[in-house]
Amino acid sequence: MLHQSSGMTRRQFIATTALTSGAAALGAFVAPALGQQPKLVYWAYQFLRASDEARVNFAQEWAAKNKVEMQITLVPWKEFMTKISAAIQAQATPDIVESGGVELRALGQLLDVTDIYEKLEKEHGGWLGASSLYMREPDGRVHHILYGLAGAVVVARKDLLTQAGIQKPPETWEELLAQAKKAQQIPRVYGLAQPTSNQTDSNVWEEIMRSYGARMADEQGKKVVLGDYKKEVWAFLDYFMEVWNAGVLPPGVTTWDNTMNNSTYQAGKAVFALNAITIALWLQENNPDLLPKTAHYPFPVGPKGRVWDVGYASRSILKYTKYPDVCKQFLLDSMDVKKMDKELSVSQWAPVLKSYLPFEVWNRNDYMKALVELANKGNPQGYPDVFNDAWREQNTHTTVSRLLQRLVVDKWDRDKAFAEAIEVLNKIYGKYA
Amino acid sequence: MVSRDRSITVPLPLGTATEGKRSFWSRHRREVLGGLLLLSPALLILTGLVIYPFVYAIWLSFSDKMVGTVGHFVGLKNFSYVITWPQFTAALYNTGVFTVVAIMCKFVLGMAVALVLNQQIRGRNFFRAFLLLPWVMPAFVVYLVWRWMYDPLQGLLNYAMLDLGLIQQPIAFLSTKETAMPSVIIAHVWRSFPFYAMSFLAGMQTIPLELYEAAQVDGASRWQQFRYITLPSLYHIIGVVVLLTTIWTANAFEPIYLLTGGGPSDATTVYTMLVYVMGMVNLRLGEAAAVSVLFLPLLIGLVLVVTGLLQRRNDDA
Amino acid sequence: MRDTLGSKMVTYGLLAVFVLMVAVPLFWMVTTAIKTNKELYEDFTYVPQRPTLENFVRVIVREKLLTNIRNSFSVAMITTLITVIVSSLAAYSIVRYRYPGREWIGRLILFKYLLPSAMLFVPLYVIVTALGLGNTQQGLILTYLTFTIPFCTWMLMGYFRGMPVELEEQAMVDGCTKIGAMLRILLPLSAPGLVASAIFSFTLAWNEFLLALVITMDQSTMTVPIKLSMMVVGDQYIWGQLMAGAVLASIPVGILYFIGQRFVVQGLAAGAVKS
Repeated sequence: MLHQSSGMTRRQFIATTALTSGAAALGAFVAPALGQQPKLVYWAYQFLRASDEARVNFAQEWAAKNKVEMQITLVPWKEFMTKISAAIQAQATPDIVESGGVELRALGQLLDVTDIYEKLEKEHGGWLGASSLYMREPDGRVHHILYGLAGAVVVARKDLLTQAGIQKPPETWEELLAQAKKAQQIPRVYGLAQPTSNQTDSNVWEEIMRSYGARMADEQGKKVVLGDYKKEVWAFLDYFMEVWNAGVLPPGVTTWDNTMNNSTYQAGKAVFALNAITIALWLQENNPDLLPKTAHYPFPVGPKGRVWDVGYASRSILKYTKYPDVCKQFLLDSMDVKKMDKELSVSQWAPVLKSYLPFEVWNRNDYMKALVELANKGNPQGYPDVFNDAWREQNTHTTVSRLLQRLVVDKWDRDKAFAEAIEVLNKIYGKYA
Repeated sequence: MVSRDRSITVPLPLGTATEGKRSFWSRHRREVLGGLLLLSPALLILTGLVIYPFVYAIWLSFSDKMVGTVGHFVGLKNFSYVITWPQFTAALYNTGVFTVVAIMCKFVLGMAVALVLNQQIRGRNFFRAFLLLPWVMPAFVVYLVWRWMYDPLQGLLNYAMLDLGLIQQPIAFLSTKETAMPSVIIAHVWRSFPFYAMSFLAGMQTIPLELYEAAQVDGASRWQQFRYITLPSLYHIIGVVVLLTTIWTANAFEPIYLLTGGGPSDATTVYTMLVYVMGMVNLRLGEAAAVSVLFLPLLIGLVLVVTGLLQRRNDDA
Repeated sequence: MRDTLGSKMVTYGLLAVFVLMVAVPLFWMVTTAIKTNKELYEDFTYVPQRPTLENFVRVIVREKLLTNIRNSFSVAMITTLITVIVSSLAAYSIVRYRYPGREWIGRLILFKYLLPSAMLFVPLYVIVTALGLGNTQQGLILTYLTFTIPFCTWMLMGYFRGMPVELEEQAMVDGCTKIGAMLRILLPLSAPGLVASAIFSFTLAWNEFLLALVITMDQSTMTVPIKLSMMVVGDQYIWGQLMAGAVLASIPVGILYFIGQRFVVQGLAAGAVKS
């Protein structure tokens, strides 16, 4: 701020400003040579110990090798949005994050990394399955780089199924129900450990509904059209009521959080669970007796086709970073084939790049094989609905699971519950129109 | 009534000249300045860290601010959105029920515990400390343990009840519409009753024993002693405790979040859950703030009702 | 007071009920902490058949819980210290001085609690980080003061009001300043009230969750409740270790209350009753 009374003439002022900014620019240029290290803050995704450690170790080694000072924090997904929103509000954001890529992209918080995307595509022979659909936006730009795909598979007690005379994996949802009914041994073992609560693991029900042919909104993802699919929804509700009345769901599913299907299966109390690979990894460490009895199958098919939502893990750079190029280099180096070979063998991700397919790890056992199936046959979350903010909000709200709870908890009739679901969808989609 | 609120006045020694001393620092000035100075740290902290955020939150409720975006004024849009949200009425009802029932239970239990601890019993100090433990542990821990105990497949309560033959099928305490709210309330009361017990006990300790002895001489029963001596002496502290805990209980978040997540369906959804989901999960700060603002009248109403009831009892007494 | 046998039985009977009521969940917590995974998830037992300390070992060695306990301690201690000082000054000001607005402040001070933390914590975080105190203990302490100071001020107000003014006046006649009178006469006499405020603040700071979640980022600042919640990794609860951590987290405050509960009761008694 320049006051007239400062005693400096305008010319002097311009001169000194030019000098100081030139010096600053020179300083930045010279800084690395003078040993000034870039400082990066990296929020790594905390989900599975071995995988977390692999990523953190890599980051530490990379930081040392590239003379970067890195502060690494492990953040679980549950707490990530709370922390990042507070950080953005306070203008004290990290540089690199490993969660919320799509959410942050929608909020306009991320750095453009299209160049990294294209470089990786070229160097690694192309992206697999749903990966590119997650990254490429309609205008061709990319703001986050996937490093893994994840999704639920059918986790099954092969021993109990064989005991009940069942030899092959369930191909359709109806078959799954039939097998669950046959193989369960109530009250010790229930057929299907599937939450039907307000927590997001319950959204498998939404996938099943979509496989019956219903969808939330139109092709553009703007207008709610669920009301036009009453026939399909009713067919789905018939299936759900069959499941509910068959007693294959353990007591308590209406308030299960996202850990309960895991722990129920892990305690040997369920025949089927629809969950990501984390169950098998837990069994490996804590209950190796149950592991050989466990099989992993792809998601069954519904009357109108297979809907197999695949989640993603990605790295992105906050646009406020002071070192965009250093961050981009980190993203690039993190996809290195040798590094990912090691990391994927202890994580739960399906591969995203074709060059990862030859890894040893995929042949190790059937759950790794199932992961490759996932990468190839899975669809982006929400399919056929558009994976946008509105869809994500209704998904977080577990609209379909709440519809089901209205039927079995509050004993509403179908029309009333259906009308409420449509009203909620209209409200949500209306906000983002 | 003796005036309990007096500033300190010191009679000046004889011979001190007071006229003509036009000092800037008159006694009155010094008084005001001194008082304000002592008050200032607290005032500073509370203004900066309470009033400002509160005003900011009110502004938020009128804006469409989301995380990372600039907020624009949108008038009453958030309010109309939130009021017509299906869970809103449920939240109103549930918050009211939860608060009122929990407070009644805490009151009765706290009073009973305080009465017992006020007696001459052996090891009294130990029991006083022991019965305080639920309030002393982190809430996260308490509710986790209760959740574990309520579990239908792996929990203590169901195993015990099945083994004792009390039930044939496991009961999903937290997942059945009829039992969810009561179960949450029970866990919450277990955690919070010590605050009531402590406060009532504190009050009881100041009641002179002579009053009880005189009453006994007059042939009063224990119940009569309680009703006519103990209770009236405790009116003030009951008032304060109920007031404070009404506010705290209506704002409870951890019990519901950790035990049921607001379910099943919306059976245990209270307003703090709504604020959390809208603000921290959906990142729509404007909506979250609107919910908080809309519930302020409910909170104030609860407070007024409670203080009104107590005022009337006080007048009757 | 003469107690009949009947009333004595009622008293002890009720006491037993209450003790059982408190003890069962605590018992469950402690036994879970010393059970092996097998006994937790597969073969249900009421009392552990094969007690083990492995959960405690894991939680201390792998999760480094002692660091978090140390963090919690330092945050709670400093919060307590500042709270007691600031609250005493404020309470003394409201009770023993006269200036405009003083009555209102005294009455309104408790209304702070009408503002839910679910609503306030984002603006609070913004301020703390703007002051450069993000991910620091100081930042956390600052936010904790907002809920310890109102209650302690209120409690001490009541306590001071109950103290006879004459003692301080006498001291001032003898040449003491007003503040000196407070320091040398009132505060020592109010020790139980101060101890009660201290214990109350310590507990609040020790147990707080939401603000610590947002403000602390890593092991260097994380307090115990947050660390415990982080042990719920992804979609797995590790009950044995969680309960071991819970036991460790409850011991310091437990001991504090065992020693100090007498003061808390005394402090509340003299203070709250007279406010």
